[in-house]
Amino acid sequence: MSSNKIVLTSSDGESFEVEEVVARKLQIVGHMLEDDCVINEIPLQNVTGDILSMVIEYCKTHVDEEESEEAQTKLKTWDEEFMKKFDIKTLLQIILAANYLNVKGLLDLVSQTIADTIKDYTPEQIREVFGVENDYTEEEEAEVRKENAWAFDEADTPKP
Amino acid sequence: MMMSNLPQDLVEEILSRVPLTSTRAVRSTCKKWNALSKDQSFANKHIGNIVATPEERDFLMIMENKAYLIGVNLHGIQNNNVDLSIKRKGKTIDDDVIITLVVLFNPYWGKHKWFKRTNNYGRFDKFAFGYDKSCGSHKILRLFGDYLNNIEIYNLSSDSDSWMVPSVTLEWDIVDMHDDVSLKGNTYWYAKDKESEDYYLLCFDFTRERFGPRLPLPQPFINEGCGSLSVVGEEKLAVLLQHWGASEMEIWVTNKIEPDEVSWSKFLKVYKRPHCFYVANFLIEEEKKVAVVFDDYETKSFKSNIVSNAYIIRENGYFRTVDLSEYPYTTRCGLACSYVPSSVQIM
Repeated sequence: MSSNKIVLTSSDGESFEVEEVVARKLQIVGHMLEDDCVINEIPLQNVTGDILSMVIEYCKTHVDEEESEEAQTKLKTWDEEFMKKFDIKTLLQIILAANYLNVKGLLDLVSQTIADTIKDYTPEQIREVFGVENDYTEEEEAEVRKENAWAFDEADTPKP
Repeated sequence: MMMSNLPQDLVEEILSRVPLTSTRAVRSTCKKWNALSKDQSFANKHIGNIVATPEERDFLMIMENKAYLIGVNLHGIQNNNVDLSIKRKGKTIDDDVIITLVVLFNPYWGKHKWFKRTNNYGRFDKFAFGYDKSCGSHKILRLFGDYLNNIEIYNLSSDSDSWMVPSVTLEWDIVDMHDDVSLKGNTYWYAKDKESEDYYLLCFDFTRERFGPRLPLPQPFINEGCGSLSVVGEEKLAVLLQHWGASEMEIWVTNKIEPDEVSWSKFLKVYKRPHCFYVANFLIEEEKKVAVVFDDYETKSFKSNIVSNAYIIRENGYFRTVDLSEYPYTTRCGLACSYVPSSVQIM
């Protein structure tokens, strides 16, 4: 693979020089390169420098995805550690960026990380942490809880 | 940065990965999430994700007329000290009426459909649930009469809220049939009729609306054994066969199973089991070569007492007894079976 360098520029003007193979992990860049192969500087309007640097870090690590079980385990451990660095707000920014830049692996990873956070929360905690507005009236909320009392629920199921 | 800043498809991407145990919490968060969670295409995706990456095997257990969803996890397979963790994930049916009514329930939707018992329902009637692939509808089969060879079918997609009598009948007089298990839309029983020499596997094909031939079971203990059935994932059946007198037991798994064809492979053999299992609900972890049998055992001490145990069984004589009274909610296991979530709507 050629060691051609590409410069990626964020919305706030920060520039990152990366190997072409790394830049191609961002599918949005990959498509631009296919359309015109002489580009070596790409402006990315919808992502800030701090978030772009994290996406690039992910892409650099995942640049050769080896099939071997050992390599996969190593990558998985790296992913877990990588995700631990971020708070929810940053994760939400990363998922937006991963979606815009079209990095499938990162999109999956962040979605799963956020979903795993949700699983430990009550509805009140979910609203607080994720900034979701409660648009139920008290009666409506009680109704929804009652309706789903039949479903999968560990809480308030007393010992028979 | 808030969740509400995300486009709808990203919210879907995230919520479709939340474990099913959080369904109630997600639906209670806001109206938008509730509506999303009940959307059929979202449900298909959600369940697809859950099935593709199971954290642990889920089972449905019926105990004392209540149905619970149970997560079962086997630890320590590698170091040969297998332990069982049983986690209750939800109560699915909690009225004491499941023995007197027929109820269809899909925990994902939280909706249930009751079939009121009418005067002509007999105490020993058998009900089976299946899927007709030709017209895409779910159906219920009812077997009744002294030899269970009278049949009726209820089509859930049909507007006529009634039972229909199909043109086919069951040509044998059934003397014993139990452990109805549902596999790939059809129902299988461990059955014996007046003319059959021993027990066999009987299938009702819901697409063709007819019974299959008597399908052979493995026969390590000809006419001296009893058996029970279990489903392995979504594609296979397992049968547990016990010798009445001797303490031998075998578990076999299907290589191929269709309404008119079956072939088996031996999964494991046990030479010494502590006693004959009465209930013998069991489940197997095929890759890990482990079986767990749930059973009630009556102690013959000063006061007779029913003890519910789980037995963890592996090859080479590995046999471990787990007292289920150590686990909350697991008294008297009436039925244990695999649970694979489904987004099917029952209307």
